[in-house]
Amino acid sequence: MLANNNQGVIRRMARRSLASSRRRTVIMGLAVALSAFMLFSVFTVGITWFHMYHLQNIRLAGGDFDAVMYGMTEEQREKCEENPDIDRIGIAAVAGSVLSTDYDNTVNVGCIWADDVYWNDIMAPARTQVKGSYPREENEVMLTQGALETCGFEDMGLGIGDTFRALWQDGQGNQMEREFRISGIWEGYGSQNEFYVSKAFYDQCGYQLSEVASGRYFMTFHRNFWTQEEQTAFIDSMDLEKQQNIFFSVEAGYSIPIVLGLGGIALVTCLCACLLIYNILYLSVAGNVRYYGLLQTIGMTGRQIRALMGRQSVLVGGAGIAAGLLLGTGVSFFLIPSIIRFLGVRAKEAGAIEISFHPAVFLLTILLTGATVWIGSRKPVKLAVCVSPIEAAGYRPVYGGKSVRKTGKGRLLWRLALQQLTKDKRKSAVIILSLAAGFSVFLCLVTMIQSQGPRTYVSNFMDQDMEIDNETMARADNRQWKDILGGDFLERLSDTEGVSRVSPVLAAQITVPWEPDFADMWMREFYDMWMYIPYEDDLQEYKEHPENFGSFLVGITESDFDYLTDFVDAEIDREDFLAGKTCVLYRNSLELTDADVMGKTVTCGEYPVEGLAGEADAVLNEEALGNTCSFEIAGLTDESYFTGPMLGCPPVVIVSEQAVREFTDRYYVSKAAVQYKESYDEETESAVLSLMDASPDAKDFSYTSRIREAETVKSAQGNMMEVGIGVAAVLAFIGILNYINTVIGNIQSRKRELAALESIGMTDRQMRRMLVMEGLLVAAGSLLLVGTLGLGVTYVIYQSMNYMGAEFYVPLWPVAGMAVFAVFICVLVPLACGRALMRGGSIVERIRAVE
Amino acid sequence: MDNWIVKTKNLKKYYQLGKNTVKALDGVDFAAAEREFVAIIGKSGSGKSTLLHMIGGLDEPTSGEVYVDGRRLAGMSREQLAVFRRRKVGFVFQSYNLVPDLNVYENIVLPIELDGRRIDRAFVDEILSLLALEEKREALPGTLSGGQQQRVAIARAIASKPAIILADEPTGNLDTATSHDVMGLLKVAAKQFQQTIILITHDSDIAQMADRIVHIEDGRIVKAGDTYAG
Repeated sequence: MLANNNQGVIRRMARRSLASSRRRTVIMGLAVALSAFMLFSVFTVGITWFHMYHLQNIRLAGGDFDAVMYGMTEEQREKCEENPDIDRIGIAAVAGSVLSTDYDNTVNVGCIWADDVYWNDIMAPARTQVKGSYPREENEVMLTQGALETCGFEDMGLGIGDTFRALWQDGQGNQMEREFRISGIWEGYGSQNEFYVSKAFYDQCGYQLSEVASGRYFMTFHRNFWTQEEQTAFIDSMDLEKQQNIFFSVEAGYSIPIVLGLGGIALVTCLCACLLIYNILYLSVAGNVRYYGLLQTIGMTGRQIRALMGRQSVLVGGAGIAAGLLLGTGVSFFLIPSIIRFLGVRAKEAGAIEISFHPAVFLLTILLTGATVWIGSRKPVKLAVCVSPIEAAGYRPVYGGKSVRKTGKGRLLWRLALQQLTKDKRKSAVIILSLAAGFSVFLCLVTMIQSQGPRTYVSNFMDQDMEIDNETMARADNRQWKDILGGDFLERLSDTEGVSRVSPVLAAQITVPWEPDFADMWMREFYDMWMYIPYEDDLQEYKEHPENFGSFLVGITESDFDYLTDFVDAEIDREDFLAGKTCVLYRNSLELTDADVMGKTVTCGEYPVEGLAGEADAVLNEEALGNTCSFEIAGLTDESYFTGPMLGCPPVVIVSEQAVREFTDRYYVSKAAVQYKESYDEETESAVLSLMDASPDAKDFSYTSRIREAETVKSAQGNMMEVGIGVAAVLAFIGILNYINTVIGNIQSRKRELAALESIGMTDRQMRRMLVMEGLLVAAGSLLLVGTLGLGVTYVIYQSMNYMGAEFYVPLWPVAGMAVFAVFICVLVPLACGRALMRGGSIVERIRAVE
Repeated sequence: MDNWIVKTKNLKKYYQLGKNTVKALDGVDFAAAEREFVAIIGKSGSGKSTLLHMIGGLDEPTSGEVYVDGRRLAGMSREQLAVFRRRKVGFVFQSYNLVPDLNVYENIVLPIELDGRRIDRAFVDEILSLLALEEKREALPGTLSGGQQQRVAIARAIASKPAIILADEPTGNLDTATSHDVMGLLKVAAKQFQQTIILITHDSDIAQMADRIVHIEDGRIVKAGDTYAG
């Protein structure tokens, strides 16, 4: 057969057809452009987010690793080496700490030995500058300018090669004055208050790498994503001892929901675009069946029709994709930084957002959008090719293939409207699905954005507006403690205008003398969990000198008691607790249950030492020695608000405020919760802050405030709401375009039917009402889908990112606004189309135009 | 004619077609009496359908008056015209114009339902029986033959008990035998329910079934015809 070059005529016809149906061409081009834009943005956000988030995590953690294990036995080390998932393991081991220098007596800088892998591979990305070299000699240190300042050396101009002296404490608690020589200075991210020391230094520091307190093994894996189950399986495979622990870096665990979320948006975008393109082409072919039949009658082959339609798709698709990519590239510069910030990348650690434009993103967008156009046009092309010339001449769309129908009941107009929706179920489903997809994404984004605060930060204790802490109580020497929050200050705080309630927490230092029942059980469990030496090694000292094992008796107000009961599983008798008969213990992560301790008695002794127990200048307070009291244990709590200024080996005993006052007069207000008459009242807040500033102990207060927290969350969110609405709006817009196009096609194809209805007496008002009802049914269908499927998906996504266990709620106003908008659009479009139709000539003309 | 139910006075309908003015109706004075069966015949483009549409309130005249059952159509709003149509006029079109999603019964009672009136079921059943459509009560129009569809259209026109039935080439799409059947049924039904029929046709055989034949040419009535006895 001779080849017939008919490409010229096909090209010409494709161009003319596109030009003559301008509305269809524009809508389809717009759909393709929007899809390409959405996909491009989603992928660029994804890649940029991963890049920036990874960078932030490296900087926050001070190194590039996926998991860290505390302490590692030889056996576990071998297991790790055999594990094919593990890429590398670096060691950063604690080698004691520097306690003081001649210039500062509260230094507290850790000494760390890093092996080559840790220093050269894992930590390198977090460093911005290194001068000198890593320590080799025993006395050499590598440090930061910040560490030198902490040691009080800021004015001494120390540099590489200089030496200094400091008091160092080894793994056994021995302290000695040592001379250090600076071998290098580094700058960068992560913890700055550390001295990096040599292997030779570590070997004599008294720690073993297998000890949890010293050996930290940083691992990186070959795979980027680990599900929760995989993480648990890995941890289980290591057979951890009680004190050992493995933590995965946040990134590994957090990535999957983000990837799924972005993938989901990409999928919904493709689906919406596909539905729209399919619908446009299908309607256009269905409305032009006679035209395609005519083409066949005059001799066009199926292949040529296929080529004709294919060319149309390529022209519109190509132009749309190009426009979408251009728009995406342009908008990315404004859009992406705020999305990245919302997804949790902080400016402080990650620096300015650098947008990653990857060639693969362009390629993937073109491929996916192209595939969407192809999938969307396949069926309509088939329809155009399959129609025979004879069928085409008398073509009338037939729906459902039914020959009979039961006579309907109910109101006529509703019935007619419902018939429109049910006569071509597939088309109706496409419309409803398409609208629902856009609105569901809106629902999901709005819910996620609105709940960002509660989901990601712990709200303050009992929704208080401010929590003020007495910082002096963090000092080791109890002679430096001051009751800065007590008495006069507390009174003035309560009297401050706008303050409704102040709840102080009292703390008195105590001993818990050894006794064979409760105290022995508790300490045994405590040593098992937290200490690196056996309980027996310290037992004798504990029995003889309970003051070396201090803890706190914490007194709470009646209103705080109500809060505490929410965090105790056991039922607590209110009267007994307030009367000072019973107490609650802070569990401190021990593996003890209520059943283990309930009913037992804990005995507290007034702390008898002024100063640091065991120190030469410590003074024994003879009076305190005989002062003891006992409480029946009513339960255990994990709520750390009541733990007092610091944790000791014996339990923190929580009792009523009155019980503390009756027991001793040497108590302090360790913290106070402040409630305002009006939440978030800036005036009251500034009055409270002024009161603190005016105090002679102003520097010793620290506080957290709800207003500040809210500001932090707000600034982290940036203009995420606008961005979220933008994303949802694009999807909703695609859905609405789909709806508009279908309604126009639908009403045009019903032109004669509607004219016939008018001819037999349907008034304009009845016609409008019928069209409104059709719109309402579509809106109801879409909203029903949003309310069920959309809400379900939103709930799953919400919970997968709900680290703080915040309660799920849907923001009422934005969603109500969306519903009203959906109804408005669904009703308005058919009304406008119907109006345009009715203006398109008299009934007779309309009937004839179709004939 | 004293007992007229339809009357037009100097009715004109002009269309502007480019630079030319097409006179579809050019001063038509026409009347039809109660229970009369009038056939209007003329060539294609003679204005016969335009006249019918003016009488049915489907189109507005350029000038002149139309009176139906004592009411003047010129002053009516679109809304009033729609109500007028469903109460006073029954249409039978060449292309049936049935609503494809409604079954036979629903199509027939549609004008009554649109008017919010109670459906006289006995009456509808009588029509169905008369037009031999009982078996097709729940059938969708798409599954019926042309003759059957036209019978449904006739049933719909009669069911709301209008004063007049306007039939625009009702047999145009039907074969000769079916055409005679349909016309026979239309005539019988109209007689039984005492309705006036104005029929447009270009088939003189069909026109012979009417009481009177009116000839129209170039938008003017050229022969008003005599009423046949009986």
